[in-house]
Order: sequence, then C-alpha cells, then structure tokens
Amino acid sequence: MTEEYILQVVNLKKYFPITAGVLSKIVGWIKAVDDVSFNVLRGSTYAVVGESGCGKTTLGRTIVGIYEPTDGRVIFEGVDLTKIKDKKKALEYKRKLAMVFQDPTSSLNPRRKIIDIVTTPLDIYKLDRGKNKIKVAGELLKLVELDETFIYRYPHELSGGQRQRVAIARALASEPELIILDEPTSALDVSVQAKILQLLERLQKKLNLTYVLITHDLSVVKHVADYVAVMYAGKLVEEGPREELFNNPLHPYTRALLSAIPVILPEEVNFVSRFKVPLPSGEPPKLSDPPPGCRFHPRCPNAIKGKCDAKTPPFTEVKKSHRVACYLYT
Amino acid sequence: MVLLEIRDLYVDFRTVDGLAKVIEDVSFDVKEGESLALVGESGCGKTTIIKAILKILPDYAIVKGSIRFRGIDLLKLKEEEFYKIKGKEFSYIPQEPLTALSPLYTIADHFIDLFVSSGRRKIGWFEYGSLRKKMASEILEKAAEYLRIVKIPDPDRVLNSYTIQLSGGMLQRCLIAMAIAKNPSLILADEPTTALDVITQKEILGLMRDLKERLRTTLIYITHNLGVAREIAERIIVMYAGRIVEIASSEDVLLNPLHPYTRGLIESIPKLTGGELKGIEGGVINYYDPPKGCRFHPRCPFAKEPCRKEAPKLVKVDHEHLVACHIIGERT
Repeated sequence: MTEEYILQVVNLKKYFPITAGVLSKIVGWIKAVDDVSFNVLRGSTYAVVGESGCGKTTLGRTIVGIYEPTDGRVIFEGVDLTKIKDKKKALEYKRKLAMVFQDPTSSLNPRRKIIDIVTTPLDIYKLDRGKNKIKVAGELLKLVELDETFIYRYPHELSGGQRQRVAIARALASEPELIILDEPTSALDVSVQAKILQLLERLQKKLNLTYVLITHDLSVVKHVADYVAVMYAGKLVEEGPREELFNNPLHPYTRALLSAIPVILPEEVNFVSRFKVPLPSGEPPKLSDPPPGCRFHPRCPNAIKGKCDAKTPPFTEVKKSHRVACYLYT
Repeated sequence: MVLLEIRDLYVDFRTVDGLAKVIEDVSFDVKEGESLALVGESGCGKTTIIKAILKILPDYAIVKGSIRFRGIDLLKLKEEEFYKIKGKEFSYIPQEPLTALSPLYTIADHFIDLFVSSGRRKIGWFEYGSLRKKMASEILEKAAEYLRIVKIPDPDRVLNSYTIQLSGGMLQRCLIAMAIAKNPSLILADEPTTALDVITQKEILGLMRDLKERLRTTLIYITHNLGVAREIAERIIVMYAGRIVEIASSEDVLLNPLHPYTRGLIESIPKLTGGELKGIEGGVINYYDPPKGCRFHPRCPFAKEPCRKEAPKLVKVDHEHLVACHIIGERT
C-alpha cells in the first residue's frame, strides 16, 4: 500500500488562532483544514477543487510544511513528515516536495536575477549540483522551454507566462518527486494557460512527477487530473477518479459547482445541463464558525432535516474509489 | 436604433518611456437595448475603451476620434454638459467591488453620494450637506427598494454595513443596485464577476440578465471569459492588442470564429467535454513599439506578407459578422 501511494494525508487539521486584546488571548479558531484525508498515487495528478476561502491553499501549504499542522499526519514515501525530528533527514525528504505558487509576480523576488531565483533550492538543500550554478540554471530553463540567456534577467523583464515557467523551474531545481501546484495558471490568460498546462504535462511524463493541483477551475481539472477531490469549507465532500466524478457527480455541492461553470460549446451546455440543480442560495460559511453537521446543509437543496444539520456525514466509498460525504448516499 | 457610435477611436498614453499606442482605429456601434460583450485577454484595451467613453482616463491619455451618444459627440462636449449626460444616462459597474467602494463609509453613504452629487464634476461641502439632509430619507427608501431588486434579503442591515462586513457577492449586488438606481440608458460593466466564485458568478449573471430585460437598458459588458460573454451577451466584440479583430453574434463568435486569434482563443479554453488545448505561441505585445501591420501577425500561424505591412480593416464577411484579417478577407 505505502509503496503505491507517494503521499498519504491522514486526518490533517490546520486551525489558525483568532486573537484579541493586548495579551493576544485566543478567542477562537479558524478551521481552514478540518480532518482531511486522501492518498496520492505515484506519477498521477491529484486535483483539489474548491471555491476561494475553502482552505485548499492552506491544505497545500500544510503538506509542504510551510504551516505546521494542528493535528494529523502527512506521510510521504512511507515516512511521517510531521514526526521527523532530525533536521538533516527532514531536509532530505523536503527536497522531494516542491511547490509552485499562484501569482508568479509576487512569488519571484523582483530584486534577484533569474539565475539566483532558480538555484536557491540548491543552496537550501546543500546539493552538490549547486557548485555550477550557471550550468544548472541554464538546464532548468531549458527544461521549462525558456531561452538560456534569460538567466541574467530580472522577473519584471518577463511576461506572466514566462515568470510562471521560471517558478516551475525553481520548483524543479531540487529534483523533486512531488510538486504542489497552487493555482498555477489562474493569474494567466487562457492562451498562455494552455501552454503552461502542456508544459506541466510534458514535464510529468519526462521526469515521472506526481502533482497535487490546487485550483478553483473545474475545466482545467478535467484536462489534467487523474483524481479529483472537491473541498468545501475546510472539508472534502467528494473524491473520485476524473471520469467518474465528472460523469457521475454525487454531492449536491459538486453538482452545483459543475452546473455553474460558464461554458462555450453546445456539447458542453448539454453536459452541464444534466446536473440541472437549483443554485445553492447564500454563501459558504465562515471557517471560524461553521454550521453543525454537514457544512453545506444551510445551502443544500436536498438537506434532510434532523440529519444533515445534526451530525457530520461520514466520508464513505459508494463505488470503487468514489467517496462522498453526504447522507443522500449512505 | 444606434445608441452609441464609436468611430476611429485612438487612445495614446504619454509616459516617461515614450508614447504607448494602446487603442488603435476602433469603431463600433451599440444598439439601443442590446447587450454587447467586449472580450479579450488582459491588457488588450477593453477597460481603456470603457474609460474613454466615461472620460475617466488619466490626464496623460490622448483620445482621438468620436464617441457619439444619441448623436452627440461626447469628446467635444464641455465638461459640465458631459457630466450632466453621464450622471443621467451612464452607469459603471467596476471590477473589484472591494476597491471600488470606500471602506470608510457605509453602503447607505455611498447611495446618498450617488444621488446627491451625480451629474456634476464637483460639489461644495455646504451644498452637499444641505442636499444630503434634505434627500437622505428619500434616497435610503429608494436604496432599500433597489437592494431588494438585486435579491438582498435584508436591505436595512446591508445599508448600515461597511464594506468589510459584506462578502464579495453582496458588495457586487450593492454595486449593481447602485448602477440601476438612477435608471440609466447605458450600463458599462467591467468584469463585474471576475473576483467572484463560479456559483456566485452564475447568480449575478442571471440577475443582470433579468434586470436588463426588465429595465430595457443597454449593456456593455467587459470580460476575458468567453463563457461569461455567451451567458450575458447577444453580440461579442473580440479585441486583441488595442484593435478589434472580430465582431459577430455570440453564437457566430463561439461556433464559427473566423479570425485566427479568436480561433486560437477558443482552442485554448479548457472544455468540460475534454479535447486538446492548443494555446497561442508568443505573448504580450509592446505598446510602445507595436508590430507593424496586423498586430497579431507575430503570433499568427497563417501570417503572410501583407499582414506584416498593412493593418487589416474590419470587413463584413456575413450579415453582422465582421473580421479584420487579410487572410480571411481574401478568401471571402
């Protein structure tokens, strides 16, 4: 089991404290990631989809270790990353985990040249390859299909798409096995987005990478993901292989999300109209004060009184590897 | 009937780095009662056109051409006269609701401002104060009514809220309520749903469509998302690098695109039904030194000699279908 899965996230929780007063007394918690579990197969692309503020970015950041988890485990190649005490050993595992951030304009330091930006991971992980930075930087840029002469430029000299390529090159510098892509294309125009998605696909094949893709865009997911998880207000509500999830979405939230996508082709209109569901009214709950029971129940058109508002529905498998957290199916 | 007629519009920006030629040779009509979408990628000049219509471009912008509203050339009007028309006839829905509204005032204050000072460039504090006193209760009653129209269930609470107390979707509804409150004949909406999640976006689009029908206003809707344009507009204008490349009905643009850029754009959009994503080679253009001839030619797979020399004119290829392309123009 463990060999098959490169990453296992088990009951992961990340709460942020809300403080008040001069003494910063903790008056509440923002439950950004609340009891999330999933497994990622080696070489696959696992997408986490959700609306803004649902905790998907926090989830990604907690997995790579930018945030310390409140509770739960992150098991990478069979080793629990949250338990490693030895710093040297921790670095060795962290090297294999990289991240690409959403906005390449703010994730690249404007005062450093591209060569310094893409080789920073080599210094952090003290890799031998770091001795010949010019050569390594050139190779990395070639990998992301940029011209080698770009190494002496600054980020502001590049276009948005080129900057995102640099960000991907930086993520590749430590020769990772798993990359967390946090909305890698949402700051880009569609014509550029298509090129970046193609690049990511080529790199995955060439370097046998595993991706965890965090996004709000279900149409992008349809193109690149193997597995899809839908997140709502800090929890996963549905998970399944791509085709299964798109052809047979079960959770009322997933169905609403699919039916709300602005589409362009007649066949897409037909596809979407199959899930014709009344749009959920209202807005997602505050993560500091989520409703009891299923977090979607105040907006859900199919909510069962006395059941959905009382107890959190279990995340159960209804079909092979298709899991859903909804009382309609259990 | 034509409500707005834009002819040979050029907008240049005088900057320290030189002259940026942003809008070049833009002409189009807006018919009374229609909803028209201006579509293009970021930086293609869609917002600049809207700002030129509203005359809210910065001082260093040089605007040439004509913008006729019901036959009156807005660019030639004196400031006071223009503000009178603008206050009465135009409404603007900005992109980011959170930055468009002031965090220091309540929604009620914004509504009062809208009615008290619309139609003028400046208002003295004394006059403002007395007008406000006189009109406030009436305005708030009206405001509550309009907030109900945009489906806000508790208008009184919202009116007394500050922007940080409301969600993005709520704020966008407030802005729409403000836009329709003066019963304008033309609404200019600049990506009003871009900052919102898809479910809220769908709701807002539905709401705008209903309101447009009900109030019989004309709508110019800016978006970078062709799917959104399809939902809201009858006609689509596709822009690339400050020029119009294609004008057609929504259906024609999406199902029978002719310009290579429009085609590339549609082939780049991820579809829910799958299919290959093509993308377009190359990237942003430099407005200080735009490509000669057709501005798309460096990225165009079909570019030929004339494309590099001369800018193509918009030509009618079919009823209501206009394209600016040498290659396509030749064929038809």
